[in-house]
Amino acid sequence: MPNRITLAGDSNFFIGDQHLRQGKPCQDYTLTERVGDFVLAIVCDGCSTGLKTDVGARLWALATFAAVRSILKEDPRVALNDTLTRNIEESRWAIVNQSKKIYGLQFKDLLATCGYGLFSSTGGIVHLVGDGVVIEKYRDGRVILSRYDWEKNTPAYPMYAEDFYVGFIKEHGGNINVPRLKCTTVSLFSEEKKDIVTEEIPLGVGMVGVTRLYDEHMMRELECVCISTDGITQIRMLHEGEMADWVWAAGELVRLKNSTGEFMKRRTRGFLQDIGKTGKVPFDDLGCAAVSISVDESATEE
Amino acid sequence: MPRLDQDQETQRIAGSNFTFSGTRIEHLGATAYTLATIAVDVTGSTDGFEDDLRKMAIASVEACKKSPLKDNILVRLIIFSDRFSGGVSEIHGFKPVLEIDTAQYPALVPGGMTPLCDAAFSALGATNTYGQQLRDQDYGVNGICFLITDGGDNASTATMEMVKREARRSVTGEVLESMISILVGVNAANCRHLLNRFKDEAGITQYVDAGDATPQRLAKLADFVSQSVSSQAQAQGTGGPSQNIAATI
Repeated sequence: MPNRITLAGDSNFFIGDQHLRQGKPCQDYTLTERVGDFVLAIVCDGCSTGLKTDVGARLWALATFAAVRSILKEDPRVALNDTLTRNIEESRWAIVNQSKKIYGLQFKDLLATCGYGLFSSTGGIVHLVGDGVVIEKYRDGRVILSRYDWEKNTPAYPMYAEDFYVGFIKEHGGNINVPRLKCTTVSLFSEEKKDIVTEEIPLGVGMVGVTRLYDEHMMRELECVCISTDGITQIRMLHEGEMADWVWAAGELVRLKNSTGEFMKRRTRGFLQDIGKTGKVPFDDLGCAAVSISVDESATEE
Repeated sequence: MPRLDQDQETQRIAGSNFTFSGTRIEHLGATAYTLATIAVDVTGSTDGFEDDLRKMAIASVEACKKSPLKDNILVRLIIFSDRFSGGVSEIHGFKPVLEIDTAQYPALVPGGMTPLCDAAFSALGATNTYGQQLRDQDYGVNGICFLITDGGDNASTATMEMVKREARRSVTGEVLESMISILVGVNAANCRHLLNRFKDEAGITQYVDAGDATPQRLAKLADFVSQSVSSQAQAQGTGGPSQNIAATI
């Protein structure tokens, strides 16, 4: 019998230096919840040039949670695949649309990226519309960091589905086959050994979101999966503006000392203190949500 | 015989034979904690008001349970007299305040001489040791210690140097974000100058005279203890230096 896998989720978000100085609110929002046998982790990043996108980020996160909860209530052992991501998208879209009317929100209030991870002991799925970083830490010490960047720093938002992405496609040159989303994957095997692979993703694929799947075997090899907003790529020296290495910064998020309770809040707190000592600050808002995966050697699955 | 608590782990303060216990760190879920230590004198001279001292300890802990930051407070209760090996007996180690059952607090039996250095070393040293471990695990941590006594030191194994070292370590900001240590004199009108000197020499933050050991005064002391713990818990994360607490007992 395989050893029992235990999952825990936690997240944190905080305002970046730029918004603090501008008197703007934090436009990142994160959420982790246990839903049946699954742990759900969500991060959303509101568009800085939008309107009340701090509200938008929260709405997309809460709508995603509500959608997952509703789907899992109907099918507690739902398969983790593209059908699921489409169903979640449909369900949360209905919620956001209704909320938009109820609260009198505008299109520009709801421009926010949305990344979520849904994990059980037998598998997981990460789906990201927008930009950000997905960090996978393995028990053997490997860390794999996948950074998603859009051309012109114009990421996709789920809200662009309102006009069937017409405006977004036009903004990106009009051809859905042209790559406009870049995924840079850095695999860290040790201090010295590192692999870097770049994938160019067509506009038509990236705009509806990218998906990463994890099977049961991977779940036993993984220690933690963390989804972060792009704020982790903007850790800077406070005065000089020099940017810290994003690979180092993202790797710090999964350097977990423990995984009980508010483990991500502790880790990010520790991270902020550490970078503060060297005069660095998060320039942009930062939100990260993680699922930690423990294998209990003394217990087996039923 | 006390029930074994699987959640607690006993360890030693470096450079000494003093031990303390604390909740296993993997069982702590919050992001930050205030480590509060209450050290109560149970030497021979406390005979006559030992029940009120016990009630004061109970009231202090129970009031801490009402703090808005009750989920972030760990309390350790020790009693001191040279009757105990090492001068100190731990009623319980650092425990989340909501998990403390004050009904289990034993009756205090006065006797023996005053190992105030032992009490101070145990309180400060344990806070530093446990605090460092929490800090290493990314927890935010600050501390507050109350040494409640009716007399000066006359029977310690720990030296003043040991106490000074732990007091210094606790306020540099390297181990704990901040630390407030308070020497409280009860029925100590005759040795106020001695206790003030002890406070200065040891590097303890402040001395507070709680007046006579009457039930009313000790009840006010309990309020002072719980409010101070609550204040220190609220200061957690502000990163400011250790501040004195305005004492009105």
